[in-house]
Amino acid sequence: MNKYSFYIPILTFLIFFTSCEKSLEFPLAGDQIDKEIALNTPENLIGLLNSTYDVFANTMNGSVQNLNELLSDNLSTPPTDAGSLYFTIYNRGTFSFRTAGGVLTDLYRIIYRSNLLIENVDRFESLDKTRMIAEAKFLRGWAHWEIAKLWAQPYGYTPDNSHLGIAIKNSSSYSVELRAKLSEVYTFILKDISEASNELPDQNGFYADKMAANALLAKIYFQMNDYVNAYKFADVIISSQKYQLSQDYQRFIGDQGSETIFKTVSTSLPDNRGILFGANYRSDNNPNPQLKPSKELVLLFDENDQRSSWVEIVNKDMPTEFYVSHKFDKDFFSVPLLHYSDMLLIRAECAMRNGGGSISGAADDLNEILERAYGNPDNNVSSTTITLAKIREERRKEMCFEGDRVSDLKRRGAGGENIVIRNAPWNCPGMVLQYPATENTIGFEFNQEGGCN
Amino acid sequence: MHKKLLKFFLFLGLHLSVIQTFGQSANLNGKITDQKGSPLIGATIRFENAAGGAISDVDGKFSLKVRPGSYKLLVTYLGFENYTQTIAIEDNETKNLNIVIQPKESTIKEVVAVGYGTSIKQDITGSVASVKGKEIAELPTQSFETALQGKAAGVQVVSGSGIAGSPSIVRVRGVASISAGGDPLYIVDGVAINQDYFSRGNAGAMNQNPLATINPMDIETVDILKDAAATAIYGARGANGVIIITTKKAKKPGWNFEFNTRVGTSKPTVLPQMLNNQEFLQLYQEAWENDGNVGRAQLPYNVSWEDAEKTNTDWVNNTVHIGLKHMQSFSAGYKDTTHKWGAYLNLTNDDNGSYLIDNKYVRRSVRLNADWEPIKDLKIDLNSSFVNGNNHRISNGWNGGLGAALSTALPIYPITNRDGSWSNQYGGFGNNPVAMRDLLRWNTLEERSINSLNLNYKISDRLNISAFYGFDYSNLKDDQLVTGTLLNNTDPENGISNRNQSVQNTQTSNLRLNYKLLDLKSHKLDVMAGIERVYNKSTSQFFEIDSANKQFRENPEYLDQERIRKGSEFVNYWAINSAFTRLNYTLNEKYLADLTIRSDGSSRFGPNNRYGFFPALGGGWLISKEDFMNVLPMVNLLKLKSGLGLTGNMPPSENWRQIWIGGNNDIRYNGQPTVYPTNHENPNLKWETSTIFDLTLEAGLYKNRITFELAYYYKLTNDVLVNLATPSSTGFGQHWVNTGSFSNSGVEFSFVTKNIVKKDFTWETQFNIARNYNKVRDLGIYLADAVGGGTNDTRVIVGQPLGTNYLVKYHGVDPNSGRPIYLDKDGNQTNEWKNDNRVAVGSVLPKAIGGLSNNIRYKRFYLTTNFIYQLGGNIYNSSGKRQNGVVTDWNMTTDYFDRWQQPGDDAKYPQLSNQTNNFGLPPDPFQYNTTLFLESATYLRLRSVQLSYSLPEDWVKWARRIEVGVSAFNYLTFSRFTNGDPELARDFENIQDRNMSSNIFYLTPPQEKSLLFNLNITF
Repeated sequence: MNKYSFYIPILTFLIFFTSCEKSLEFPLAGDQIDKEIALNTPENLIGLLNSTYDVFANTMNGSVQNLNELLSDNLSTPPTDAGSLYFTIYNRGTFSFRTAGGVLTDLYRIIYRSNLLIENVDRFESLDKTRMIAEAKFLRGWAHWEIAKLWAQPYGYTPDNSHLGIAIKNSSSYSVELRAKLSEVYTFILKDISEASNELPDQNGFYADKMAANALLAKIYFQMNDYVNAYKFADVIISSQKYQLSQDYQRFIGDQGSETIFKTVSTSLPDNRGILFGANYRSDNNPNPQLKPSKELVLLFDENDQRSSWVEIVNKDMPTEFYVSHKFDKDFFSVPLLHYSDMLLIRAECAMRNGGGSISGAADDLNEILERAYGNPDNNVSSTTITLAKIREERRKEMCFEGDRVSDLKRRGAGGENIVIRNAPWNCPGMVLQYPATENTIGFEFNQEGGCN
Repeated sequence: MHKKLLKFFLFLGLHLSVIQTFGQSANLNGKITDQKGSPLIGATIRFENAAGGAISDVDGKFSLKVRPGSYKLLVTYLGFENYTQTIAIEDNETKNLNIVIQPKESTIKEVVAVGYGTSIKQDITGSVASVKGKEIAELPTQSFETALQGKAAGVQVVSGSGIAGSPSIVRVRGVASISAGGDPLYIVDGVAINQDYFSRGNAGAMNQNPLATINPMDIETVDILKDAAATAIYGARGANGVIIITTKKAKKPGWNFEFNTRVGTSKPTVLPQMLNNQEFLQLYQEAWENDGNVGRAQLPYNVSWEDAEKTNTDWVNNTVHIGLKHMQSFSAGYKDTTHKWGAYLNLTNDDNGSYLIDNKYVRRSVRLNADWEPIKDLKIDLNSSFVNGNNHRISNGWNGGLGAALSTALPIYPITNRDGSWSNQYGGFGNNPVAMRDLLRWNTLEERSINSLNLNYKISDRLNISAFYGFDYSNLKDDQLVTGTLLNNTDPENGISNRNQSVQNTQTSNLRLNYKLLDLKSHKLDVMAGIERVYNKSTSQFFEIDSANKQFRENPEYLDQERIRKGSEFVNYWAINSAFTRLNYTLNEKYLADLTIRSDGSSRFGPNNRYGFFPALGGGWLISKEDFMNVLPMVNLLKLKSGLGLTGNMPPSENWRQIWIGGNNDIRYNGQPTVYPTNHENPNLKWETSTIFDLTLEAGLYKNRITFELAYYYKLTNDVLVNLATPSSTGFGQHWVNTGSFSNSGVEFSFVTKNIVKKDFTWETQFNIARNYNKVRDLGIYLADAVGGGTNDTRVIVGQPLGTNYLVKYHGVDPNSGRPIYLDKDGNQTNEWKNDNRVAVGSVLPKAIGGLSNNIRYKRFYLTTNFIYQLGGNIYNSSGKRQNGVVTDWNMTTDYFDRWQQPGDDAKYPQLSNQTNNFGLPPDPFQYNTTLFLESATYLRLRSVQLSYSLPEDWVKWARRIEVGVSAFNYLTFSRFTNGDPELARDFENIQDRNMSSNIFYLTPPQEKSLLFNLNITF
């Protein structure tokens, strides 16, 4: 008995260690799967690309646009709750905590998923690799651009754009990147979007297609004050005759048909990809919305302009007078991110700046916008009455609350105009968002502290 | 000798009471007791010059019939000095003897648990501190670990807050982790128990206490393993120290019963003074006018001045009261006289009401421990407990209750409206803690069972084999009923009931061999080797049902109803496979050497680093056994020991793994499925490695009348596990890495002196002090803000202790303007707060901790006092910056009267204002911290004072011993912290917060002080 007992532990040792490795591996439960399983079917890679659009839609649901708009002159002071992010950003103060870091991470998450897709899509022959990579680059480039607009001083802030840009990510590996020069960032963005423009199909359902990439290029070149290229790409869109202004000036809550070049799609109330527009601006179901127009903007709309219905004066002529918006008064809507009216306004301004075309062409482009707004040609301009200021005013009104205004002001400031936004120069430190304190790794440079005061 | 004695004892033990000898004509009766008067059962009484003898019975008594004559009586008892007495007895005489025998001081061999076995304390080379169960049971603590405070050098225990059932923080020799657990490993009767403090996150501003379901009355001893020589046997789980809990067994032959009960009160140790309505209105108006406004201030939630002046609610008094506590514990032990089997049963009901109204923790527990020797050489041990812990919860801290009373519940808000309904028009029910208490019905129930079964078979005199199986099961159900009123429904019965359930099941199985490889007179070599598997499965799920008027526990039928909403069931597993060995070598009983090796493979380690290797070497020298020590006869023990080894600390979960969400999930875009990862993977993720060196000198003087221990340790932790707040460019907010290193080093000193040892008067003093130096040495590429804790107030900074406060220095108030003056990095004065001016100031960790206790016995009276203290370290009063900072809709403390009002004022606080910029702060002021709210954490506290009286035995015949007593707990504290209790263990968001921010005070309910009456009966 004793003799045999001695072998029991030895035998157990052997059994134990031969089965060791497997006994330390456990399955995931529920919806959770491991990376190897996730990347193991073409359907899952299609799902990965779709999830990249999903994050993109959730980031461009008003989230990014509202941060931009808060830096502009289109809004009045948000509620002064001491802890409010909107209040903090509007006031352009120094801040490093409770920042828009979540939005920044979301934008980089779009980039992360795009990179993952680009790195893994050639696992399956059956996939339309070219198109999927082009879509990933379209989203990757665009996300970089949105980050650059909010977290770096604009293109033209320094003559050679050697000022601090943002961290460029072109790989899904875990690595901490430092900020590249802004010139490098724009080179990267333009390369991604140009490649997308070359490779994307003409038709791609609700997903990115060739014209979406071209429209985006027009916007980026316009932001760079590159009137020739901006004109060229805006012209490609307009000349394609695929799009035209909708009858309805309500681009968000009305007919979204012919004018939209690219939009993020809401399919139902729970799937509302415009939620942060509605939640912050809507005044039909909320007497005191977070975000309210500035008086200056409200006064720009004359009563014959149908778009004046987008703003309302409450308690008029009383000490408690304030303003609300109705542009997003709907339970759910898709978000038109690239649209024909923007292309008309870009082409018009570029034509005025010798980017191509003619002054009368610019007047024609602007008149399309004006005629729809007023419902008649009474307010149209001619090649002799059109001015840059008029085009810009229409841009401001047409695209109010869409996050365009501050980029436009910065663009003009970088172009040499004397731009002051709510008593602060366009290029003061507080006109870009501060990075969250958690970016603080060795070598990472923050934006200058001190706001604009 | 012992063996013979034992055989003799076993033989005679069959007839416990009386043995008759030979033709008799005289009676010799006696009673054998120890120096404390406790009867000794089973002592052997015999004559050196004649045949015959007896064994003392359960009362220590014996009776012999003898012939007349002169006898040399010899009394022997294991662990006691032999007793002799010459007796002359005459015919028909009856002699009654009272014999007091003395324990063998020099040969008392203290046994300590060492992990997978026990050892004689004198023979070990590791650093182990022991606390007896009696010392734990005596203190009226809700959870046993609280009673360890001040008892063992280098073991810091910060008791939980005044909330019933809240957890303590235990640190052995400093903190050695950032994001992985900083608590020691707890072993109960061989079972490594579940230690999840966050099974309910931070709900209600309280973490769960996984130790609350261990009944303090069940504990025989607690052994604390501190250095690598002791903890390396636990490998990848040993780095934070190991606390081994051994529960009680039947020891004495026959039946033994014990009944304990206590009843007492609970009150807060301290409460801040909040403003009443007039004071609040005065300061609020002052801020209003300072901000350039005219007329009467617009009050929060538009309360009218008329109403505000009429309403004066003392919210603090409406959330606290005198809580009641009572405990009843009954135990029965039976040991078969042949020692073939024994059993111990305990039933305890412990009802711990806190001073917070409607808050109490009720623990009902059953324990059965049994041992059995069914056949020769086979021993079976079973330890089993079942505990039902029911926590009657209320919101606290940031979540409401007393926390609301100290913050957003203003004295100008009423409790009820004129019609008797609850007032909720001033910021909702959150600002009415009295209503909230009534409208949110909340219980957290935990059923916990910790069990172990050990089979030991003696194959030969040299070889033993043991098989062990343990399981720890806990089922936590957190039930809330949100009543209809709270939901603003017209029907108060139309509420929502929800349940968060989490079930943990940990199984430990191991197989061990003990072999005496050498057993010679001068050389002894023992080898222990074993293999072990620990497997854990945990599940959690959420349930919710509408139109409810009961909790799930009150109406379990909800679970079967169709309208119930069930969250996904989360299932998690982890496992460890290990092999370990320990070699103990002794040369000439003077020189000791231990070698311990453990290898751990864990599912929590990334595939590239699946196995860890943890060796340790210990050496000891019993100097007092050397001949040259004969010149110092007063030294009965002098021992030098040292250890060096590696131990580890595991990631808290399978954090290396990249988890994706598959296409069946609910998230769709454009109606199409999405598939996505939720984190970055890190296949290299592994354990933290601590290299620990320890050098200890132990001494006993004058037959152990004075014993002391002096220890030095150095612990270098590398590959620190950090859940980084990663740069956004990684696409995720958090990422687990091994990066950087830090060190803990320190000195510990403790002594025990028996100042007076007399028959009627004994006095013993215990003292210990421990100084720990903690320093972050490296953090890779990451800087201060990569790891944050608290409300943004602590950091990990190279060159500083772990969890230092990182604040802008506050210089004082500008006497001319009333504005605060800060200091920039270079010490220049500035009115503006800037990120760049933050500096490392203040420390989460104290410089020194310790305790002083005195045990005095005079005749039948016992007096015990326990002092605990902490020297150095800081408290950051994070709620203070809201109470006494920018004037908002928070109430303020009376301390705020010391504010600047006019030029020339020398005040503590700046001019009142509700404008952030008047304080030079950025728009979101509460993220920005200054030294104005950093306070000293030094304190001295009379933790407990106990007075008891042991009734004379002839008063009550049926009982062996009756003791009555009274104890006061936390009745005296010396501290400079003004706003609360300096002994601070607040609620934490996660493990990292718990490691880094234990000194952050945020509306933390103070500790309780209690007064209790005790009764203890053994029979």
